[in-house]
Amino acid sequence: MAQYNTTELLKVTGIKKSFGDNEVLKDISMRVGESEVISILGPSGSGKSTLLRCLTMLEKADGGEMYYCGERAMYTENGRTVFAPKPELKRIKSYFGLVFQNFNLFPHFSVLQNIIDAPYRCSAGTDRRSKRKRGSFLRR
Amino acid sequence: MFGSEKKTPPFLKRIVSAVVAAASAACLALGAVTCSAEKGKTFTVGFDAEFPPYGYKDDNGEYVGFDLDLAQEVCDRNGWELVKQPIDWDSKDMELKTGAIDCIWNGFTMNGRESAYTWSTPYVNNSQVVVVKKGAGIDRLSDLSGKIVAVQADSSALAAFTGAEAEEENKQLAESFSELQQVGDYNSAFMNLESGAVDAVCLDYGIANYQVSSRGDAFVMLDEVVSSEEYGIGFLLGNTELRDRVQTTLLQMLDDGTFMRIADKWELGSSVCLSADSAYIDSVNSDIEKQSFGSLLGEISGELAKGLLASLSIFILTLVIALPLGLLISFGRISKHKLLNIPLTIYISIMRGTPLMLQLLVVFFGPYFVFGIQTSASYRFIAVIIGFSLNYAAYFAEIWRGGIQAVPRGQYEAAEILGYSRVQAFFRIGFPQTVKNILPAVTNEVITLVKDTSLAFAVAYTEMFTIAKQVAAAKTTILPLFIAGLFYYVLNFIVAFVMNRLEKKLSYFR
Repeated sequence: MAQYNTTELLKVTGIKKSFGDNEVLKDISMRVGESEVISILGPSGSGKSTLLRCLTMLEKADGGEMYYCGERAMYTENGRTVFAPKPELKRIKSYFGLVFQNFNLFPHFSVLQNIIDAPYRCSAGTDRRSKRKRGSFLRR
Repeated sequence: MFGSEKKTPPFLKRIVSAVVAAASAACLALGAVTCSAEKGKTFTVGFDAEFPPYGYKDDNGEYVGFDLDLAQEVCDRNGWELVKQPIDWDSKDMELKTGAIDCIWNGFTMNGRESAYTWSTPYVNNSQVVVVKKGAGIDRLSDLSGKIVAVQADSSALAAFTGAEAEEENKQLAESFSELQQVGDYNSAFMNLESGAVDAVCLDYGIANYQVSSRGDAFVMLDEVVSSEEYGIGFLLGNTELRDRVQTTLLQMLDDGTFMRIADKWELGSSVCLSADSAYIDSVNSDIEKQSFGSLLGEISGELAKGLLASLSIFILTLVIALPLGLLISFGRISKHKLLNIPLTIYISIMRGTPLMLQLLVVFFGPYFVFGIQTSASYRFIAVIIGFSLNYAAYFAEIWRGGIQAVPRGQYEAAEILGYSRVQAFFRIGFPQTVKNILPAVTNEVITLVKDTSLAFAVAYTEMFTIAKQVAAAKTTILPLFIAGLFYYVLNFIVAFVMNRLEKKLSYFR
């Protein structure tokens, strides 16, 4: 695993996103360092969720560049948005999490399963059967 | 109803006639003729509408035939109104007992049924003959050994082979067949014969003659006959008054040549045998032994249990194939690829828009009549399973689609954030919730499927309800149908119970 760039956990430059004729994100650039808490404020429909969805790659931005911990997750080539290659992207995606507005818990999972699924998936790697490992996540 | 002329007080007549006018349409549809007091007597003839040339539906949709012409002439001479009532042949005794019909006049074989009805004198001599495909290498009855032979359910051909009064020779002949296949009607029998699903059809001489001459020279009749028999008109046991009037009129028609004229019109001149001096076969009731209710119940249940296995195998195989197939089809329906989406939409539309019975016939007869492929005997069951699976997969596909699309998008987004691949997200997150969503709808379909298995009779696959109808006809009681109903109910009760438990198990907090 590549060394974390801790001074610059997230860096984006020139993010653009439109829905049809409606240009929502116009050239957004920002950076997030370690231990920083950033709030994005704005009226309803101003693009807060769209920005977060672009950053978490649930939505494909129309342009710009995006780095997580110094690794390039997205860039623009000849006017088209390109994501990093799949294995790399999978690793990059494990660097961040997202808490949804309406939680989106999995109703068919138990409470325990809902809590441990994220850290378990992100770091358990090959040791998928280890109950103790799951337990240790809980104790933390 | 014959003989039910009523005297109605004048002040009631107006009210009655208004009611009668309104009710007569409904009465016609039901085949009941009890509300005919005002218009003179009616004479209701029960017949199998698929039994040419004795009684059938012609190209103009009219019921015509030798027997119906005779009945018309008898009615004209007595001033009665003739009501032609097509009946389900298996239910003929019920129709007669309830008074829905006055007689069975439809190439009705007397032999073996002498004591079950009050009979006219025989008017047609008919024999059971065998029809095979030309060039099939079957020239005499002994060649039928190891072959599949079709007969109509509850027909005299069946009785000649397996009935209580069948000749020993014929019983042995039937034993030598690889299978004695019962079919619902002669059209189906000949489609089976033409497609090679059966090797021979055993049927009445008159019908055989008609079928062979009207279907071209692809079929031949064997010279040897299985048995000879006579046709009469069957009245309700004890109804000698009506029998005598019809009989007298028939003999008058014989005297003035009308009878022979009608017989010649239907090319039956050579087989009619009505004569003034043949004696009535009067009913001797003593030899019918009364079976105790308990032993009857046990015997019927035993027969039905055999059919239950056939019904259950249709049910289980259809579920096992149609549920996963439906899921695959629903993926195609959801997909945005037009090449997948459009054909599947058309497929579902056809499967849901046409009768399952027709689809079964197409699957069973299609390979031969469309592609000329000879099908083996075991194809009958395979065709039933294919037909049911294709039909039910279409319904299940739409249920799956609804269930899949009802899982909120956010669930998949959350899964994506957690690093699930698309396939993983579907099977670990989407699918379990989909199953929960579709359970009530699936329960409905499964219960319908239990009852739909009875449709397999369309391709003459013998399942429980077919057996129930056969036993009902053989024992002249409606009891087997009710017992079959009970079997279906118990089966569905179990299905509903299991599905209910499953639903409760999956009803986690939402």
